[in-house]
Amino acid sequence: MFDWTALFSATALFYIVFGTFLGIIVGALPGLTATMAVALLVSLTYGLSPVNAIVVLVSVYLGGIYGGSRAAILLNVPGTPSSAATALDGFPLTRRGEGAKAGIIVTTFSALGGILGLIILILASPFLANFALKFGVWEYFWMAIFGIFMSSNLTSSRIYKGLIAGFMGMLISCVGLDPIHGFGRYTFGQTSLMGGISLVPAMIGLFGLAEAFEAIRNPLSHSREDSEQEQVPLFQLFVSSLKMLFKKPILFLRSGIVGTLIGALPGVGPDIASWVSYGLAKRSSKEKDKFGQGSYEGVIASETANNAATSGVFIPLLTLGIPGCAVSAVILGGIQLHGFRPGPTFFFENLSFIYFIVGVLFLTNIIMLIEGTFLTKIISKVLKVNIGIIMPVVIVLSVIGAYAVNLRNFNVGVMLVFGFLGIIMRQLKIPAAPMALGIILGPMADLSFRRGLLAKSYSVLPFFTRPISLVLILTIFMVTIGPNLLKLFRKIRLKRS
Amino acid sequence: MLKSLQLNWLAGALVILVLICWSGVASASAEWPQRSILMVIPFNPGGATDQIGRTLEPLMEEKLGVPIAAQNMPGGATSIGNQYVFDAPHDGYTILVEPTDITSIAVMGQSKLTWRDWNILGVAAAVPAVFVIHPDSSIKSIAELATVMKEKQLSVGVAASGCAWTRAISLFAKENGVKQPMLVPMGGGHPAALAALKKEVDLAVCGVPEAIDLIKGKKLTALAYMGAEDIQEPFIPAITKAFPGFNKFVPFGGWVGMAVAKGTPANVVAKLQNAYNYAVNSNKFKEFLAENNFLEVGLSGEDAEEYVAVSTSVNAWLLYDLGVAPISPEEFEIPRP
Repeated sequence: MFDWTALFSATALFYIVFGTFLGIIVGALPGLTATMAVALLVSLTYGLSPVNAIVVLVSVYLGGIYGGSRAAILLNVPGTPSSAATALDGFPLTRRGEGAKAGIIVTTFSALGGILGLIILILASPFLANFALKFGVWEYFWMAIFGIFMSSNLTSSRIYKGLIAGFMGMLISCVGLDPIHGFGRYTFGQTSLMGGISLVPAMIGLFGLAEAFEAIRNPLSHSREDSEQEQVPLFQLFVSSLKMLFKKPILFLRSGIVGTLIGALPGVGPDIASWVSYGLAKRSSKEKDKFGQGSYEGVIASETANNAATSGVFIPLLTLGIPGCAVSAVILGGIQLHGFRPGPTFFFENLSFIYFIVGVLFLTNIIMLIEGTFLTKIISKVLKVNIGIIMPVVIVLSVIGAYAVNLRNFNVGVMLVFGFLGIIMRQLKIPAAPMALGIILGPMADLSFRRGLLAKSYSVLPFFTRPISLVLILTIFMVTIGPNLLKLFRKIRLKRS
Repeated sequence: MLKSLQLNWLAGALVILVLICWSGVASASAEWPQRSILMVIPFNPGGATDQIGRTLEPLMEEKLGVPIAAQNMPGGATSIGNQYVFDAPHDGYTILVEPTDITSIAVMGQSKLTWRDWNILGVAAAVPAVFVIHPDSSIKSIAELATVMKEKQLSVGVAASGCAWTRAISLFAKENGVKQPMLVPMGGGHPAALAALKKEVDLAVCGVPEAIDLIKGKKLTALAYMGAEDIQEPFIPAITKAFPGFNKFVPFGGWVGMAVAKGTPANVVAKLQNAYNYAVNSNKFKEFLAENNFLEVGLSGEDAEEYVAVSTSVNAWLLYDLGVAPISPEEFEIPRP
């Protein structure tokens, strides 16, 4: 029998504290993502006992997803793709001199979001897993489109600019060998393009390098107002973030539930969860115009959802043995290596193992809350250093990060190209986030669309007639296209009168 | 106070980065291996290739003394993974878990690579094909399947175009003289089984180990598997019971081995071979095979290369004769079996 109480041994606790810390640091550094950290660590965990190995992987993953918000808020450089939505409001808050306060609030809500997701996992896992199975390739196609429309609509006042970026991202994701038949697309006979454009160097260029150049070109863009907020003691900030929870319980619950549900869809994960939650929060907020200018609701929605999604990822993993993302595949491999085979009967037959995973997730969220709270204050002080010192460091980290992906000089080139692309896009006021999301979701849209056609003898009808597909289409229309059309009509009418 | 904090943080960040970079940087002079090895798995997580790769990885690590990082690189019926490993320097730091598809990607027009481009370290296990279907489906047995396929073109989830499971269902259709189904490549055997579970496709063909948990959990019904004897726990009938004509084909399915590019220095290949042999002969690996209904093949070195050559002849010509493969095996000098 699996002894889940080993979780409370001193070594396991040490690994949680250490793993979470490492995850936060890796997540906070632009270009090093949570996924990479877990992939690098997994082979180091084979020497550990099953309990400790899983503890390390889970805590690094959770820490990494949370850590991404640090650089997003303080530097406008999202550390991981899932924190791109956080930067929209986090950075304006920093400029207003409320970076530390925003950091603490985000920390509290990340942890609470993770724990809310965990509660949903305990109560509804088998039910949710069966619900997730209702999402076929047709629905996955719409989910990908949904994510891109959502982020396009939110990152720019004119949706078409966002869509330009999003669809360019999807086209970029087509470069390389086509995943079904293996033919080269857009490779122009270059072998270096056969493997495709990797997300990480592209993202480092678009966010890291472009931001650094922007800051050097116009140092005022990173200037901060002095604010008394910085002098407020930690404990008081923590209490005020708890107060926020009681002021906005609906916002918190909605973001957490949305995050968990999207996390439970295999292959979708935290990246989309944060955008969808942010979009819903904006729609139902009383202070819509504050979004993008430094809204606490915005950062809370995005960060609650992406950490809730980390709990959601475990739902199909534990109930059906389906790994949703690269990280959960690695964790599944780790679990199997130690003799457990999650599958349909696993959840009820191995309750002690479920308790264990729940325990790990819970403890990691608590430790993350403590570590994050202390680190926020330190990091925000550190990043107050002259922008002329910080930004060159960001550039150096960008080059190292791009090279470290798989030790190819080619990726440094990709990073530079996307860096310059990012600078041009800023001049044209085209947002970068939809492009990054396009690169992530492009393959999902492409493959799901083609598989959907193949499965029903090349008929496109199922994309519109399946019930969940229809709901997704209507949501996309109501949330993104509809309001923009209304705006357009109003404009035309104004011109006429 | 503030200054020292800033410096500490920056220093800490840099140290971590440098460590991450070092883990990959090689010094060419010293003895191989000097740094971590990348193990490319050319299919999605959860499938037979992935399971074998991830089981061998820590065992080979023990022998080689450096970390091995396993990475899934699915797509193009393994041609993306094959190409990636082949394009990497031939220094043994990038190795490939090689499934059957190396016998078919050339004639399917997915890649120029054949078994001749690889040093096959070994063929570890064979994976018999199983036909799985959603329990709600009206088709309840393999005989009924053949009847239905006469009338209707079914959609069938497989791993990739030209994969072992494609060959299994195409052979089944041809032998019974029924309509060739619409194939839907799902990127791996496990995703193919899930496609049947989610009713995205009418039927799925995958490896027995890839669907066994779902069959045990009664989420999927196994109509038959391409073997000679029934599997008892969970019960899966052998195809030969309903169709004795398949006796000459079984066991039919895929296999999983490991390869490193031709042109890798001989001493490096020898070390990898040694580590591979150690891993496949360990009790841990053998128990894993038995538990998961893999069939042990246990060939290594030249024997394995011979096996792959024969397998290439059989599979490539089968696909070409079935009309699935567009390119003649003759173009790659693959002799008829």
